[in-house]
Amino acid sequence: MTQRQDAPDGLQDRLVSEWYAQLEPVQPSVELDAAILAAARKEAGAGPRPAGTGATRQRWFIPLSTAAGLLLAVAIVWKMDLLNPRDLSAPVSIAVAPDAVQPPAANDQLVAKAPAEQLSPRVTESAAPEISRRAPGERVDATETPQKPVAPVQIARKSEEKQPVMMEQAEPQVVGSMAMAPEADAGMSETERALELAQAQLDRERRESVQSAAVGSAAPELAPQSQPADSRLPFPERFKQIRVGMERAQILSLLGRPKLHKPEWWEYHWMPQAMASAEPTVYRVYFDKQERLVRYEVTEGRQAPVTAVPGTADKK
Amino acid sequence: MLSYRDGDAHAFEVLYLRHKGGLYRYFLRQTGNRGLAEELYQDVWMRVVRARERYEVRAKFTTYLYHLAHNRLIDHYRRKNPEISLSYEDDEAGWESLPAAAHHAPDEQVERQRMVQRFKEALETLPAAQREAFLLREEGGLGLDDIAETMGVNRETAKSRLRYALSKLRKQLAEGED
Repeated sequence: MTQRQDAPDGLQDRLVSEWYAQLEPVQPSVELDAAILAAARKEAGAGPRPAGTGATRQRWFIPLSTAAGLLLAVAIVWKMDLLNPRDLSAPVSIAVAPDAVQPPAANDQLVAKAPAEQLSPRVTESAAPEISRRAPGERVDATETPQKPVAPVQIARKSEEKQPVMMEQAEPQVVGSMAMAPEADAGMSETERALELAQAQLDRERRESVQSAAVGSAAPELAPQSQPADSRLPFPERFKQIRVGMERAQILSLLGRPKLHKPEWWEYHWMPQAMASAEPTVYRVYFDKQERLVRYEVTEGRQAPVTAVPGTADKK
Repeated sequence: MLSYRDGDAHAFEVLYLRHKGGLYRYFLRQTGNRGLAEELYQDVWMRVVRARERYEVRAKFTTYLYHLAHNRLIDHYRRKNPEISLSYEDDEAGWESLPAAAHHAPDEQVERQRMVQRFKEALETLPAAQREAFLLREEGGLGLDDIAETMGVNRETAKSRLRYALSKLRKQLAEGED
């Protein structure tokens, strides 16, 4: 019997309680006790509830899920920003892939394997010695101007990892026209596209004349890159005429169509016929988002590139 | 009960052993039927078990337990006879004129057994509400406030029911001694 409280209310009758206590002290059956206790143990799960359940879990679940959602959103935005850089005028890798200077016969393979290489991120500084076979210490970056110093080494972005397109070799039958890979074509501006189309006809005619002149020659031209309007001057002389700030159309008029190109740079190869067995001299020009020349560099043979000081093409 | 809510099955066993006799007799005295008493008794304990995760400390566990028992008993009465209403003779007069409780017990065993039986019959003849108030006091050890809360009435009503129960039982005992 449960121990009775005192009865300050005056309603306690000891005699009645004594007589009540004389009644048979009946108890529930043992089977009933066992059944109830078994059900209780089963309900309790034979162990304490793990911490963090019920109301405790509800307290932190909502803030945690909110924070996780915000973190995911920030990560996605950051990733998209990396994949779609807004500032294409920023210094980019000036390393030239070895495939780009291979003879035309090897360039078909280059175009075919380009998509597989696009997604492999790399650090320009570490990749340059292997790819371009140039000493890193010999590199000179023209973007380090007093007004706007720029770090010479940048992490190559995926959009910049696109393999340069070998013009004309990709589709030899379309000589002088825009034989560009789809990814390279997508990066062209409307102005450039229109200019290219207008230039195509002229290039085709000039190429035909160059090819006809080269027939029987033991040292053919390295690359059938298109010729500029004033093709009487040798390429190095014409290259000296370019200036930082020139528009892309002016470069095209002066130097002709590049051998390799991407939206942010063009590359020309030149080599005198008397030195056909040597490495070509590589001229590369860089453009900003306004389609203007920002810098250029010259690489003679296997030497490290020499970047010109902005403002003059005479210095190497 | 808080320990059991948190998964300590042993805590329930302690509670059960402490209250099982009183609760069982509460039902048995109220119904007078052993089988029915066991059924109601088991139902109440199973309600305690199932409600363990929702248990909050609002009153003593004893009050909580007998409140469940009271509700289960009322459900039984109403299911058995929807028109039934517990009759309370709260306004019954004259209880104060009843003889005071005697402070001695009969010596003879036969006479004692007779008195016990008489008391039992007196208890059974009490109105249900008065008997319940008495059993809550005797078996549950509840005070007036807890009896009132358990039965869902105010304190004065509970007090009145308990008074009538005690007076009638005393009266029966006095008549038996005569």
